[in-house]
Formats: sequence, structure tokens, C-alpha cells
Amino acid sequence: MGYVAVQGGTDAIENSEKLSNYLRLKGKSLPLTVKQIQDQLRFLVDRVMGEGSLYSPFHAALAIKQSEGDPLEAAFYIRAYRSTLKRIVDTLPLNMQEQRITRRISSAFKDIPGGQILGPTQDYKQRMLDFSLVEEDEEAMHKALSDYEAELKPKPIGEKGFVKVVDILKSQGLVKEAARETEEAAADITKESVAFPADRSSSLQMLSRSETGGVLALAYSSMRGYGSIHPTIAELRVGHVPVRIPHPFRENETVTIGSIQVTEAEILAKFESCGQDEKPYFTLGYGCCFGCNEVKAISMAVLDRTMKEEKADAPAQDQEFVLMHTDGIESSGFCAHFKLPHYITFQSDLDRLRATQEKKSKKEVKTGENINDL
Amino acid sequence: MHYSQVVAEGSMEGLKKIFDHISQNAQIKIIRNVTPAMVMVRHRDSVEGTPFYMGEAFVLECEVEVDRNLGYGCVLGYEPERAFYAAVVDAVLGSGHKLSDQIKPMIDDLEKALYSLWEQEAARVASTRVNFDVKKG
Repeated sequence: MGYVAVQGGTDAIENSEKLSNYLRLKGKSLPLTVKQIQDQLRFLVDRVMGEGSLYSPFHAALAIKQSEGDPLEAAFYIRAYRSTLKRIVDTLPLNMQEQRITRRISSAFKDIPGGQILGPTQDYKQRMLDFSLVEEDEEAMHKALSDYEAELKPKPIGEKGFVKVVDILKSQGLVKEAARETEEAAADITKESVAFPADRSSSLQMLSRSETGGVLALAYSSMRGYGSIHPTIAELRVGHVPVRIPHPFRENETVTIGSIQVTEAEILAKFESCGQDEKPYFTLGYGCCFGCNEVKAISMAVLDRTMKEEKADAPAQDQEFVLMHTDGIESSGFCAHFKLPHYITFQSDLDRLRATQEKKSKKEVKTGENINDL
Repeated sequence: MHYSQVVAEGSMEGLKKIFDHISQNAQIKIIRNVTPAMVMVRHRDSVEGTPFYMGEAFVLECEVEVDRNLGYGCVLGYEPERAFYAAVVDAVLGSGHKLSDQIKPMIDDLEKALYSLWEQEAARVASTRVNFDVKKG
């Protein structure tokens, strides 16, 4: 069904926008600052940055304020804003060995090199509402902060780098050392439309900017048995990694432009062997996205692995199905388009329905007459 | 740590002091005002080594001349002054300007302060290191 162009209604639209703003303000609470959103709604900011595909906590927080907390709408603003900016250069590949880790866990092994680091997780909290937050004021916030800061003494960062669980498994021959792709250039779905079957480079790019709920739903379908791969988290890491670009007018020099926070997940999946005589190995899946978004990184890793199945028996194994239905901007945009006027095509449906009903009624009458005749 | 990282992540207060010192002792000319732009974040997955783009990152960039030495600043995030100061520092340290010897120790101090913050963060993170006991039976 197609929508039609309409015109007019300017006053009503303007009044509708005023009404929306009125509803935001009528409670007469203090203005929500962008800084407050950036500081206190971290997970939402990270989610919007990832789905909007633009790393910028400031703009994500602004979009959250503007959308009144709707993550899909906020990501849409970010994606739109992104299209107004000039892309100046590709960064050098991120070097995860330089990551300042804030969280690192493995559910495959109890003991991993460097130890399991819980970091700032909510995983062990009881999911009970904390009513003390209702009364939280500036004084309470400052006290909590100074108490915590007084507790700990700075600790040397130690040597950079860490041994990854996957690398240990590779060295033990439990995971197959994949033939590393030598091609340096990455595919870019923002410049060239993706064609299916998509190469892995495009697939990872699409997943890293996908909507959290979308990838979670499909990964969950696999976890529940629809194309199950029996995943185990080899390693899940959150941390800040430096970003470098080539210096624009000094050859062989780079500029470090700051650090970004990323979440990276490597999952071990069911083992397989290529031929009858070949040893079986664990298979792997990879996920990585902007900010702290563990559910997304894990789901991405699960889907990266499910899509490798040669024969797709379930939605999560079908690359086109997964990649074309997990972009939040595409899917919410299509859903929203149903709110546009579809008067003409719906009128056509109405006409057909009425004609069919009329035809059917006539037939019934005719059949009824025949019965009466008997 | 490269001075560009110190400038990109160090305290604005320390950076302002460095800028003030340069501006009092050299001629600064803006070649290109602070401009918003994006860089595409390139990454390589750790499972198969596939290169891919994670998405763009917002940056502010700027070009200046300090006593005719060209400098370029580019920083993540929305801090226009930082991008400007980054270009000024790059013009001095990147070209071997006569102020370099005075600026380097100031950058070193800024780096130490930044490192100290990271050490505090490392201590907090280290306090969450865990060794779960597996329940028997």
C-alpha cells in the first residue's frame, strides 16, 4: 500500500509541535541539561551513539533531550545530523592492545590472564527500585563522590596489552586460526548499497550500527533454539581505546584525536569440522560497538556466527533477513511511514472489498433462491 | 604518549596555560577556523581479521600558523577551544618552533596529570577484580 502526498495543515502541525513542547515543560521542573544527560544517562547515550552511527556523547545527549528520551528518534536525529558533516579521513585501525580496560570477563574460563574484572556492572544488583534516588540532592551526590574518592589510592596502570582468551585457545589448537583477510580496505555500506550475500566487512559494519533490540531479538531466537549455536562468551571487554588519523600535512606522522569507549565480545560456538578426517574446532563470533552496550556486542557476536551457517534453517542464520531487519532507523522509519496518508490505496482496498462482498451477497441470494425453489 | 593525545585528553585548564604562554610569545594566525567534521572509525575484528568500519566519530578540526609554522588540530568531541589549542600546540611542537623547549615540559606536566587520573581509574577498576569460587555439590 502506498502513501499519497498531501498539503495544508500547517497551523495544525505548528500547534502540534507547540503542544508537544508544552507537555515537556508544563511540569515546571528544572531544565534538563545536556551535561546531565551525558553524565547520568550513560547507557542511553551510548546506545544512541551506536545506533546513530556517530560517536559523540554531546550530540547523543542533545538528541535524547530533543526526543524526550525516545532512543529510536534520538538515533534518527544523530543519523540525520551525521549526513550534514564532511567525512575527512579514515582512522588508523583501532589497536585494542592499547585499550584502557574498565571491564573484562569470560564465562568460558574462571581464570583468565589478568583476571576477571567486573568493572562498573549492574549485573549483580537486585532489580529492585531504589527509592533513595527520589531524595537524591547535590549534597548527597557530592558526599557519595568524595567518600568513594577517599577510599582508593591510585594504582600503577602496569603494562599495556593483555592476552586474549581466543588467542590462548588458538595456540592450543581448539580454535581454528582463520585465514586472515589480507585486503586492507573495508567495505563501506554508507557509500555503496549492500548486495547479498554481503561480505563480512559490510556485515560487521551493519551490525555495529544496528538497533540493540533488533539484534537482541534475532540473537535470542537463536539462543532459544531457532538456529542454535550454543554460544559461550570467551571474552567481553569494555574500555577506552585511542583513535589516530594520519597528519594531513606531515607525512608518516599521526595525530591522536582522543579515545572512544567500545564494547567488544568474542563468543565461542559449537564445534565443527570441515571434512570427515579433519579435527573439530570451536567456531567463533565477533561483536564490537560504540560505548558500553554489552547486550548489543554479545548479540552481534552471536549473529556473526549464526550467519555463517551454510544452510539457513532459521531467521538468525539468514544473512539478508538479519541485516535488513536490524537497522533501527530503517525499521522505525518504515513503521512510521504507515502514519502517512494512505487514502487512495486504502480507498482502492475498500472498493475491492465492497465489490467482493456485493458479489458474494448476490451469489448467496442466488444460492438461497435455489434452495427455496427446492 | 604523543603530544596530540595529551592535548586531546588532558585538562583544559593545563592546556589553556600552554596556549597563553604561546600566544604571549608568538604570532598566531588562524588559517581555518574550528570546523565540525567526522572521521570514519576503522577496526579489524579479532576473530578473522576482517577490516570493517564501526561508524563515524565527531571531530572538530582547525588550522593555524604560529610565526608562519603551520599547525593542525583535530579532537574528538565538542570542545572548540581544545581543537584551536591543539592546532597551536601542533604548530609549535610539530615544526620545532623556538618555543618548543619551553612547551615540552608543560606538556609533560599535563601528561603526568592525565596519567594520574588514569591511575585512579585503574585503581577503581582493579578493586572489582574477582575470583569466584565454584560451589561444590
